[in-house]
Amino acid sequence: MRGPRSYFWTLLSRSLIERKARIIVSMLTVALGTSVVAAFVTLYSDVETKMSRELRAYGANFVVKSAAPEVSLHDDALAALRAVIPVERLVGAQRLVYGAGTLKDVRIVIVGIDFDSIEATTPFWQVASGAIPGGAATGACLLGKDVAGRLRIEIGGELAVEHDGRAQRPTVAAIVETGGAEDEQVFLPIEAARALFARPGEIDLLAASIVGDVAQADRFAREVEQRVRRCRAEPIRKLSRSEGEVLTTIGSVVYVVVAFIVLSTFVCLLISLMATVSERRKEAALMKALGAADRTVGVHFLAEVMVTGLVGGLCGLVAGYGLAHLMARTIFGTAVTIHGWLAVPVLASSLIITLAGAVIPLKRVAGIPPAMVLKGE
Amino acid sequence: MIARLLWASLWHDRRRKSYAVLNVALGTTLATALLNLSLDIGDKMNQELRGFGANLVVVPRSTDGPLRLGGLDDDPLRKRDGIPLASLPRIKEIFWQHNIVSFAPLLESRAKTKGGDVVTIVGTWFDRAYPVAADDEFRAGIARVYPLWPMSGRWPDDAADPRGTVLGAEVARKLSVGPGDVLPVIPLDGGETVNLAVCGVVRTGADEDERVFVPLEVASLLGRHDDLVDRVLVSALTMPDNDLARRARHARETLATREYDVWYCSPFVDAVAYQIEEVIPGARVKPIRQITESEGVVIRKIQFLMAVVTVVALSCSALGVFSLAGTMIADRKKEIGLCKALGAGNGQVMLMFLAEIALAGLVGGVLGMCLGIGVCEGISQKLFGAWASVKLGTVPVVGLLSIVVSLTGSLIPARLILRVEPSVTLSGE
Repeated sequence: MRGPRSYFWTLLSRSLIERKARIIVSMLTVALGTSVVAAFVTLYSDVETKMSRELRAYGANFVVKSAAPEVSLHDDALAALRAVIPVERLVGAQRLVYGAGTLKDVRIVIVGIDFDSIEATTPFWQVASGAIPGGAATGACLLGKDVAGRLRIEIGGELAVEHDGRAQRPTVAAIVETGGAEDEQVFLPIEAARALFARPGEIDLLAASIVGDVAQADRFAREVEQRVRRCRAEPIRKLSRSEGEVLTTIGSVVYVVVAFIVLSTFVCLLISLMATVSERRKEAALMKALGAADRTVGVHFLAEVMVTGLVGGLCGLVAGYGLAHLMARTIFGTAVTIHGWLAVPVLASSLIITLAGAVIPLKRVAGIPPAMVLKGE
Repeated sequence: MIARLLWASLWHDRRRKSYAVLNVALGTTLATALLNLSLDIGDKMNQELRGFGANLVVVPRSTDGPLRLGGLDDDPLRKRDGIPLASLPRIKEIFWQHNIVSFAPLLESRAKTKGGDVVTIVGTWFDRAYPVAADDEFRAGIARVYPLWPMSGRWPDDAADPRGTVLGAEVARKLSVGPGDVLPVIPLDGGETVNLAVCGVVRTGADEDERVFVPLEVASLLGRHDDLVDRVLVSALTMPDNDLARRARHARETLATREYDVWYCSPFVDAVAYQIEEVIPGARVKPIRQITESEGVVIRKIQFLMAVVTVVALSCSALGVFSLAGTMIADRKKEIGLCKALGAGNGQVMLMFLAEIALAGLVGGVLGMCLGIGVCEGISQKLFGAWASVKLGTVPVVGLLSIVVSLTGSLIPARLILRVEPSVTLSGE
């Protein structure tokens, strides 16, 4: 004699195996819904971090300068900055040293800069002609577009830049345009500028591009100030503020869109499941006709649905992470951060939806006398 | 005959059919809303990004600009060229006048405080009604150009506070004055003392922290008296650069006439700059690349994000219809078997089945489209406080899409019909 328990399992496994095509369709439906939900929820949880990195296109948003005009910063300020700001938050950092000089007898601002840092720290610089040389380049310079235009200087020309009786003769490697003060300046590699100004090891301004909100930037600023004597570190608030606003807007756009997609996916899922289950009214009626209690029929169908929901949900979860990864790759070109804990609410909700999709049509069956259903339409 | 069958099947199987209609409707709602939203998101984000401030600056063509060291002008009293104030309304008269969000003139000079500190004074407009031909309600000023500057206190009102002043945070700290205080300043050449009424303190973290912003009229009391300003900051809605814009930037003369017309009539930042140059003789208009380049990057990313999301959501709703159609056919094997036994060909059964699906697609599609436009407007209102401009072009696209989606969603399952053997199906399982 088989016990009722083993009868239950036989019925369940039989029902799953015999109807494998239909069960697979249901599982696929659940998997599809879950994967969409998992993908979009994952994408949403990551989108602000990703976009805040994109917003670093606006360039340096954090500056360190000396607290008093009579003292200068030194290279240790850069080391302190790198020590304080975690590497994944520091997009770029740039040492700058300024001096006034003459070029073709015209007074001009000479800027010493790390050529290597330009692309990361100030990506909006437009190279009108030529190319920015690598950091090791000596004897090269960059020229602001307005100066170049006014003094009729072309790429490859040799300049005589003078400061305080000392002179350097760099070649023009590129003409740059920003629409700002840089258009009027000439840029030398920082070591060359320091030699010209006779200010070895000194920095006037340290500009950095960091990922993070104003509160974080303020914390970094305090820490840098503690490490470097007589310096002032400060986020460029006008950028951080606007960035914050834009990120909030982007966040809410994505939030609303994702919520909307998730909701309609759930409704679609519910509808599809209701359609697959309602075809089994006859089966339920037959079980009842053979003497099964409403409860037994309910437990059997629920167990079946649970298996479908769980397997489909798990497959969907994996596929969803894959989809999120793919979307993040195409949109942002970086991998998505997968939050393991998201699996719990996603799986739970897919199970609940599956159950709801089964319970509603089956509940209607329970009210119908078996004879009516079995007799035909 | 087919019409009658179709009607009968739709009517007698209302519940099942309504599932299909609902499913398609939901998918179409999703498609309509997302499509309209993603077409509109560029414009909307563009407006949001104007919070970063001016993206164009108008400077005199001939100036050998001031020499700035650490942000300070080394010789502020040197005679310089300027932009005539009278030419400013023309900025609002260019082809893309509606894209000009606002502008603000700047005039720099210096003054001494009672304590003998020299401060850099910037004369500007804060927020003043400036009716122009195209727009009676137009307001110009720095508060309109930089709406997001972190400010304690308030922006002065140009009409109500003729001496209203905004201090940079560093100046305020050095002089220890704050909102509500009066700051007397003396012109460098020793004129009459002007009492500035401090309304707000701004902390941008950049050069502005070292400036004193005063009404333009006050600045001309302190500095030069002609009706010229040093610079005009312009905030304009522009379109991210494409290939044409990049070619125009580097070699405008190589464009063909047609390309030139397209470029001129598109709100690329360089085209807007060019048009302002046309109306203000002797001026040069420079795009501020820090703002314009980044705008392009951000807007393109968001548009791409929305496009990818839309495509993924659409293909998912197609798959949903697909699984539903599969269920429906498997469900009705007996009916199909009967039709075939009565002499219907595969083609006829298929036609009938597809007609049913297409009809469901159409009904669901129309429903979803209306719903989708509503949802799109709702989202747009909630997020941006403005109506989304619904593109009529999306209506046929989405309509076609919903029918195509429901048809392709059913075609593969419909091939099951071919495999139905009447005798086997009718004799029972």
